[in-house]
Amino acid sequence: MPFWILPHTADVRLRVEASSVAELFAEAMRGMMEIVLPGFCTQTFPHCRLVEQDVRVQSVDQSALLIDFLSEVLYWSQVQHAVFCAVRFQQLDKVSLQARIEGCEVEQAFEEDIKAVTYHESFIRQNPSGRWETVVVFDI
Amino acid sequence: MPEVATGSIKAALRRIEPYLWEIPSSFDPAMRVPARVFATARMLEEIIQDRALLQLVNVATLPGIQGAAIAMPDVHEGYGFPIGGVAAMDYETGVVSPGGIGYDINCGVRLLLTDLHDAEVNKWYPQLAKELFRKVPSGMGKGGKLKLSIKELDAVLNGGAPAVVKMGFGTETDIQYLESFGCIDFADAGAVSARAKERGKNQLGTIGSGNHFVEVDRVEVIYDHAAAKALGLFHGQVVVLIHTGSRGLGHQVATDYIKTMLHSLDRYGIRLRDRELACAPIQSEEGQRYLRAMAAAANFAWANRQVVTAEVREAFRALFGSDVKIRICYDVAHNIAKVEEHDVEGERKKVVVHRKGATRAFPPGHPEVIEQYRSVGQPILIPGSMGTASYVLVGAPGSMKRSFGSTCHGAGRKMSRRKALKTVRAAELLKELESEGIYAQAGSMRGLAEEAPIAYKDVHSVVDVVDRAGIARKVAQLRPVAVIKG
Repeated sequence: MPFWILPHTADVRLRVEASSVAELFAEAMRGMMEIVLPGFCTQTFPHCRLVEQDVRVQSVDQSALLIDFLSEVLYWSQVQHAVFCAVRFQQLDKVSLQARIEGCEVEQAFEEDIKAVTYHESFIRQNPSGRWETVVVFDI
Repeated sequence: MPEVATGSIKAALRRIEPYLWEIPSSFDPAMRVPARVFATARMLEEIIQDRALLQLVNVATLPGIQGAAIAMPDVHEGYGFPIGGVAAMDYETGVVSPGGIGYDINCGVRLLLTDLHDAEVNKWYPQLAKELFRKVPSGMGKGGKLKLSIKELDAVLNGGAPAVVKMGFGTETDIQYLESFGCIDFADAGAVSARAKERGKNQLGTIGSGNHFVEVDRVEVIYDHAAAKALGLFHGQVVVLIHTGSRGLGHQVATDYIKTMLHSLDRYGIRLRDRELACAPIQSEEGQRYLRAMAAAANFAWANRQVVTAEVREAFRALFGSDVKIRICYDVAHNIAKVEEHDVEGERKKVVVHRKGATRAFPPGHPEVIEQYRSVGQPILIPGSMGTASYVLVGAPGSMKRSFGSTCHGAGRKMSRRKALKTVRAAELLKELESEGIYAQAGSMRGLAEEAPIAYKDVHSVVDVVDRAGIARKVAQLRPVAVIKG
């Protein structure tokens, strides 16, 4: 599995690992959505109302870019009551990105209300096996 | 700046008072002040299990911090700042950090007093729980009945609880019993982003999810009869606690300004151990703008609890008739920054006190305690977990000397949400609570399990510590009888 939910006293700590930076961003997004509505992104929903949203993010560095990207997805998820399971990057470098996020508007209540995506402990790095990894802490 | 190891913190801790421990500033060259924690020796063993004190040491490195970085006995690991922390920054030379206030700006607690006695109405508690659940919108992203235009929302952001009283939610008298009278006057709706307004515009009058709730209690024990009388509390009285904050609006304000401040760190030469400590000088454009936005979000939270109060009144009146009297005892913020004056090393100083999971605890005679309570001290509302107890305290003189007029805010979590989910079955929990005469209504069984009493520290011990440390005084213990959760 590309993401794992780890213990945190009050909030949720997610560890993400992927073979590329783009994949890391995509898996972190799916990991966040797994917290919001478990199992949704691994199922197929033929009747769901599709939602697409263009996003642009600019940040101080790559780790901040991931957090700011997730904050952007969280915002759209909350105002559209949607779960975003896919992302297509038109541009992604160390401090900026342009992408289209794709998902479903959902009827059911979210399982978890993420207040915010925090920068705490987030640090994107390549591990000894060459895979990209980071931790993300969500305020619940 | 490199982080220090958790293990070495344990060795550095020394007792400086019976209930106060210190990590001296010599512990770490980057610390500007010591880090202090109120606890018993036994509690401390639990506290050092997570990274809360490590985070407190990081807070002690922030520019302009005064006296000490302080943790309350309910402290636990947060992100950046620990939850249950207090940090006072010099108004002229210090920084303001949105992370030191938290994402849920002005998350707080309100206590409503009814003229009902438990003996008269206890058979109605199950229906009361249902009625409250119907009247008070709760749960994930749940909107309220009140849909505001942006112009109306701006009026709430600038005007706080008094603005919604003008819309018909409550009375002028209500306002007299709120911290800061439910409004920080330097709030500026213009400093709040369109996104924050979008997230908040339909959320007035909703409690949300997580640890937020509406709880009906009965006054179980009175410790200080004179203070209880002054606050309007009597044994067996039916009272209501409301715990919620600024909802999505506040979360977005914090998100926006932490990002802004990350971009300005280099400009102000600020180096941080943790980006969630992102800050800006109080006197900078970023700092001032954040304070105005934070104040607006705080006003939104007071307005939110005011609308929820109206919903609670409706529920009680639907069940017990229109004669039932419900007045506000008090309303406290436990995630907020306040501009206050304190004595620091013999000098009177203007500071911005960051309270993140900490409550103001001004003692008797303090000019900012409302006149009605000035002789007994500011009321402090400490919610416990849904199956244990909550407390009403008042501020004590020691708070001004030891904790910048602050005390604890709750029981404090000790178990992760995930572990709670694995340990607790919601249906069994509901039955257990019911067997103890506590009727719970929850929008999400998962949310209920996450908030099970087992996930929390012992609220009695937490309150005993702040009482014995002389920063607050016990007035009454409340026992839950009906709980509404998101």
